[in-house]
Amino acid sequence: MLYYRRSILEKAGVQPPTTIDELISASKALNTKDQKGLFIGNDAGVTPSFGGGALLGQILWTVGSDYLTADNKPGFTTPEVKQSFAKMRELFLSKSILLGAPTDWWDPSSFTQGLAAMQWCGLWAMPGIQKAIGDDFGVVAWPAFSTSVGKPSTFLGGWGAMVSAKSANVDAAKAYIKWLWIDNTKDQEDFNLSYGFHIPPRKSLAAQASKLQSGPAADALKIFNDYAVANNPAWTPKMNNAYADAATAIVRKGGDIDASLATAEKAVNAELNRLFG
Amino acid sequence: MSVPTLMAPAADTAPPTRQARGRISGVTGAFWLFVGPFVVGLVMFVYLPIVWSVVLSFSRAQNTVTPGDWVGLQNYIDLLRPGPFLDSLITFTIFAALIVPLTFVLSLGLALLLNGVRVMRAFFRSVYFLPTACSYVVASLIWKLSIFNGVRFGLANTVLSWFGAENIAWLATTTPPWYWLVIVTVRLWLQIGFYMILFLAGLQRISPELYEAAAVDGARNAWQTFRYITFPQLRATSVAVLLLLLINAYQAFDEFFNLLGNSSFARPPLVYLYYTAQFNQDFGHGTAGAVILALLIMIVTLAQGRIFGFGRAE
Repeated sequence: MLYYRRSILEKAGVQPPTTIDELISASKALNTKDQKGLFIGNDAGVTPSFGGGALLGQILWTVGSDYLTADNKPGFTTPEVKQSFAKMRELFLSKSILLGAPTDWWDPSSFTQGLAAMQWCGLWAMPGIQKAIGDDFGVVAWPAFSTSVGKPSTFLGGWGAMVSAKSANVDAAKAYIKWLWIDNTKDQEDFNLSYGFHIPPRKSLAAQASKLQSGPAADALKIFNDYAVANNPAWTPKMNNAYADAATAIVRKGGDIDASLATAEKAVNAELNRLFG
Repeated sequence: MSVPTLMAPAADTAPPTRQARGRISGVTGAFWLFVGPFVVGLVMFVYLPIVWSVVLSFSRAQNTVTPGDWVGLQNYIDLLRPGPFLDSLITFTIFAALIVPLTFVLSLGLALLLNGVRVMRAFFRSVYFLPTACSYVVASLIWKLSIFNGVRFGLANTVLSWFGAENIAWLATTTPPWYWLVIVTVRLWLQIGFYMILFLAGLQRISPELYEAAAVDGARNAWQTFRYITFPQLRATSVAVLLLLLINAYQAFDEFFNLLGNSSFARPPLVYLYYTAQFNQDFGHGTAGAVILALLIMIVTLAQGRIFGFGRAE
């Protein structure tokens, strides 16, 4: 989610952004010599190494698209997505985003230490942020592209457990996973909320968890329930790397949008062909 | 196993022929005793993987390292079409064009300076050689996090701010491509001392009589001595240094991986192949790329041998 410093936004007369254009203008308005407007990662959110590439999904979701369409075709070559990439390039060129920070987007230090007025980060960082700057912050989802196109979004982080179908003890493994993820609510709450914030996987538990009832944590839960986009298991690392190569070339190097995405589309189609024939 | 045969020559009564035979088999036994474990390791961990890679490179090997799904030369054809692999070779070429001449000139210069130093020679040599002992990963992190970070308290930006210049995000800026400055300086710092030592060794092999003869023949200034005596005499060293620099540049991985990760605009071949094999789990294309690289290095080495006579008797 997008964390913002309340006091700094108020001082600059800036509202938390609800569209991509507002985000860019807010980032520019909040930008000063020593404090950048926005931190979305040292890779500008588009290069997936060392936990980077934080905005690869949001670039698509903000215009209501996704990596793959419902019938498993590439979803990143629509005209709206191309406009979204043009906006990301505009944001990169605005010189108002923080680049080259000592830690990356997944760590809130840049935000709490005043290197950036807004930062894309995760719920896990919230206790640390509260400890460092009290309640001088709020959260919003990644904004919709415009008032008429797309919707706000965020990523769906989480855990998964799988049972090997070839195991000799499939039933025992299933029973264990049921106990671990469904029945064992006490440990689930402790594990999710005592060591940095995570949303407990069980909705009933998340709804009654005391730490998620008020303030930004409650906002975060609402953002998650309303806007989180689940991963598509058919989107393989190979597809993601091809798509991220295009995103990196476009946003960070000013590469041609159509040509870069067409190259990625070819690689993704080859991979889809391998999976689904 | 071979111990009894080793002891066989000790028997005085044995006839000469048997003694000789015993000695030979004893030597053979000792040979395999000492060399065997090494050869087994070499075959298992070096030659077998190389052969396996070559075999795998003709296979479609997605999510597996078992060859079998033969595709002929398709992996090679895919890589040699315009695309990320050829881009990575361009990245390498730019990198080599920057790092090879820079390291060559600066390490030769340092060696000449140090060769002329009369006091505290050991100290100066150690000081310049010391960075060679530093890990590429450690140096990359220092360059990334403290010297060339993008915020106001980075060393480079602090220095810039004294002159009123704006902060520069060194690694993230692609126009102008400041990331090359970071990439090249870290390797320069790390390797310059090693090549300086090679040049120093070369300099000390030059006979002083040549310099005396040159002085007699009228070589007046330092440039003339360098141009007509020192540099030609360093030929063998220079060729070796050039070759090593080029091969090392080919194999660049650590600093690119740690400083730029999987950035499509600056990814040398090994970084690209690493992500192909490890992250995409596409071992067919990964090994095909490795074979192409190995062939390229062999061709360059042979060509250089032809042109400069590396390895030829002097």
